[in-house]
This record gives sequence, C-alpha cells and structure tokens, in this order.
Amino acid sequence: MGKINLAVKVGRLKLKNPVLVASGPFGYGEEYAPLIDLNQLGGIVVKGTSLKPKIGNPPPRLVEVPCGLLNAIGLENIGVEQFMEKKLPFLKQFDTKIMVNIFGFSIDEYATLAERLDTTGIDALEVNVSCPNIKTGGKAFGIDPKMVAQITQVVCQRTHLPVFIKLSPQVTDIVTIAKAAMDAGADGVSLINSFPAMAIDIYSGKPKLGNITGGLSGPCLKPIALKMVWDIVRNLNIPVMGIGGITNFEDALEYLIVGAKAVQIGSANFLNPQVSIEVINGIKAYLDKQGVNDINMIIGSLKT
Amino acid sequence: MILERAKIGEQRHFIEEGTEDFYLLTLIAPNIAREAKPGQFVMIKASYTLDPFLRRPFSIFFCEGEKIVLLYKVVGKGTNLMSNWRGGEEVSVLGPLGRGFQIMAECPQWLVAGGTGIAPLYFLGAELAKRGIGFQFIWGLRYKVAQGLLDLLNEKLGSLVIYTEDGSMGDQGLVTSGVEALYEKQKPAGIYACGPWPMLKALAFWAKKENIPMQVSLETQMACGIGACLGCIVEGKDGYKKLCQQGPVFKAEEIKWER
Repeated sequence: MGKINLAVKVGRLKLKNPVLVASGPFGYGEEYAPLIDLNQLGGIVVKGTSLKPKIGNPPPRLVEVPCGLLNAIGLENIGVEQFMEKKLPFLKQFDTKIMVNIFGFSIDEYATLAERLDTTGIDALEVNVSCPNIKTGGKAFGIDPKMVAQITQVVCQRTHLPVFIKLSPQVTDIVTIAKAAMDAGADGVSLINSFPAMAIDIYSGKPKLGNITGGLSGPCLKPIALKMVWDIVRNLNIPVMGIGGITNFEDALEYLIVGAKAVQIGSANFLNPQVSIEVINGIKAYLDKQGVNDINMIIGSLKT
Repeated sequence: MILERAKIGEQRHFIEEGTEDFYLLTLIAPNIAREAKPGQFVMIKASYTLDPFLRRPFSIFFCEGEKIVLLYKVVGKGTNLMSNWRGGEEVSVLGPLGRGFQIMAECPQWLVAGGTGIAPLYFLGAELAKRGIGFQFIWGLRYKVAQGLLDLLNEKLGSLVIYTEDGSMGDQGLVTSGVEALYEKQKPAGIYACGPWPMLKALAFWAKKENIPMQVSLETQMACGIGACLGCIVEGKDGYKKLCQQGPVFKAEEIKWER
C-alpha cells in the first residue's frame, strides 16, 4: 500500500482521518479504551453534556427494531463540571480530536456551556439543537431556523473553538436550518440526529419505551440521512459531517462521495466496538485499490 | 473485558415430550473463559447481518478450561438464529462483563432460580461446591425438563429441589412457596437468586422480612454492555444504576422493587 492521505479539514477542524465516533453510544470514550486504540480515531464526540447533571428517562430505554435501535436515554449525563474534572483528563491523553456535544434548555445555557468549555483543551463543540426550549413551552430549538441561528451566534461568540451544529432530521427543510447555522457563523453541521419514533407492546397495550417516544438510529436511517447530507452539500457551501447508520467502510464512503467531509459512527459501536478502526482501514484499502492517494479526491466526487 | 472470536464447540438441545426446551451452547473462547467469574455475562453477535441489530447478553452458565458454556431458551430472533449453530462456526463474543456474585462464606447458602435464571446460579453453585460452601439449590419451572439436563445439573449441584407450575416434575407450585416450605426445615445464611421480576420481587420482600442477605442477578434490554450507552439502567433505591456495569448482580436491598 503506497502513502495514502486520510487527513481532512472540516472547516477549521483538522482531523487525521474522516472517522469520528458519534455522541452518545461512545459514552466518555473510556468505556471503549480497553477494546480499541482511541489514538487511531479521527475524533471522539463526547456524550451530550449539559450545565447541570441530568438523570435521564425512566426505563425501559431501549427497543431494538429491524436494522436499528430506538432509544430514550433522556440525555443522562454528569454535567459539564464533572465532565471536565473526571472524564476530560483521560481523553486528553490520546492523539485524537475531542469534540464535546453540548445541549441546553435555554439560549443562556448554551452560552454558558460554550464559555465553560472554551479553554479546556478540547478541539471543537458540537451543539445539539434537538432539545425543547423551556422558555417557549418546549418546542424544539432545532425546528426553527431563527432559534438555530440564535444559538449558533451565541455559542460562536463565547468560544474560539470550531462549532458544529448537529441537526435534527425532523424538519420541513433541512437546508433552511443548515443555512441559518451557516449564516450565524457555524464552522459546519453534523447530521442527522436520531429520528423521533416509537414502538408499542401489543400485549400490554403500552409503549415499549418508558418515555413513550424515543430516537431511532441505525442502518435503517442511512438512506434518509444520506439524502439530507446531499441536500445540504449541493445547496450550501458549508462543511458537513455525515451521521446515520454507518456500520462499515462502504457506508462511510457513501457519505464521503456525496460530499460529507467526515463521518460519525454511532450505534454500530454496540455491534462491533472496533467498527471505527475497521472503517478507517477499509477506507484506506479502498483508496489503494482505486489508485487514489488522497481521501479528499473522493469527498464530493458523486457523479450525477 | 475482551472481544474474542470464539469458535462454536457443540450445542445440545434438551427436549423431550412435554418438557420445556433448553439449549446448551459451548463456545471456545480461552481468553474470556480464563477471566470469567460466576454472575458475569457475555454479549454475543447472533448474526453477521444487521437484523437482529444488537448483541445479546447471556449470563455465563459455566466455564471450564477454554470453554464458556451458555444455557438459553429460544425467545426471539437472536436466540432463534443461535439455536441453529451446529459447531465449527465463528462468532464474536464480548466478555466477561459486569460484576458477578460476591461469595458469602457462611453456610448454608440458597440458590434460587426461576426458568433460565438458572444460568448464572449453576456457575455459582459449582464454585461454592469447589470452595466447600454448603448450599441448597431450588429451581422453579413452568413444567418439567429433559432428564439429560437434570443429569448435567446434578453433576455439579448435587440434588435440586424442583418446583413446577403444573406439577409435572418435583413439587407443584411456585418457587417462592418452595422457599417458604424449605424454610421450615432450614435457615439459610444467604440467598442468591435469578429469575423473572415478580419472583425476585417476592423473594426480596420475604428475605428482607426474615433478615436474610440476598443477591439478585437482573436482566434488561442492553446495547453496549460496557457502561457507555446508559440504556440498561434499573431503578435502585438511591437512583438509576447501570445494570451492565454496576450489576447484573445487586444486593436485593439496593433495588427499587415497586414498579
């Protein structure tokens, strides 16, 4: 195998390869450290982090569906202070980029989180805008371009770090939302977040999730996510990270060919804790076979 | 915690006319087998395809040398696929996971199993026997099991007290009534239990009333098995607990039994 470049730039964020692990399934990274070499990853997106610790939803929190998984974890996390004290020092030992996913229930909370994490030595922020805004009666921030713009602007003002807005797929027009983030100063967008969904136990007549509804992830989402990435890259000039149902290098390459600068792997870590490393190696072998020595030649190479 | 390519050894299907059926699966996974302790579990990818999507958690039934043995019933897609394994196939196994039983030294201990809840308790019973800790094994079932399975259990556990709901083997009734009957004759120093929630709940209340220390092995839906996803939480008295990491074995008094 000749020398192959896998390094990519996603806005201001430089990655040694385009494969990150997505926020949520990968916890704080330390859980997977006995099973994979975290140094090999392009980046780790840390579990959704809020200002205060959050307890999460009542069980059951998981339901498997064909080729996918419904979850209603409820954004349980230890809060930003404990994250910085107990989890971040471990993550910093590794030669990989650390992106912290943040969420809040008011614009102020997003702003405070951005400020708090600014000089902690992390490499980027990913902003989850799928949460309900308590000030407007719980309507999700992410469905309103004005709110997305406002959050983006406030976060970007409070940090020097690259900022990525993680988009919810449950919107009328994802391009409008992505444009709002772009115009407000985001370095890029990552998509998609899990798709709101539910499942019923026909014998008890109850929802299968303790929270009634949850978020669908996994390979069953991939074609939808891919099309949303495509919609954004062909309409806007904003770097995109593709997320949704990646379980192997072929899936990752589909996103890259469509035009995502990087990809994130989420629930596939459950089936195979080493999936991200296998995807990186698979991409490398693919490039070698194709006689291409730079991943950037593949990104956005879709022939239509 | 090890991710290992395991080879399927043999699989036995215990079924006779009118019995509950159980599968006994042997996996060659030397690295996991070396470390596994009673009460710990493994997660198995039942298919290389994406449906079923997640790994399946199984308590370890027994370990010997390079072998891990699992005892299971077919309950869904994953176990259905597994029941067709004939030996020689390779599968991905993650384990040993979770915290196992804390072995109590006082005699006698009672091991109380409901249905497939026997899996972790067999491993524990074998360990207690090895250490010379006296115990009584009580197993509750809906109906009888094949003689071959019973012979296998007797080998390591000695004689079992069996309760079946239809009375087709052992005494008729629920395992919880068996426990109360046995209590007339013997006072246990501790109880280890695994089985359906209503059984564990009833036992937990009874053990508390009689002031007997009790450990339970629980199960729930699970995705990662290693404490990352927070999908497998159970309600403890002092908040949510990660079943995969803080369990699957808990002290009965840690758990909030009312649901």
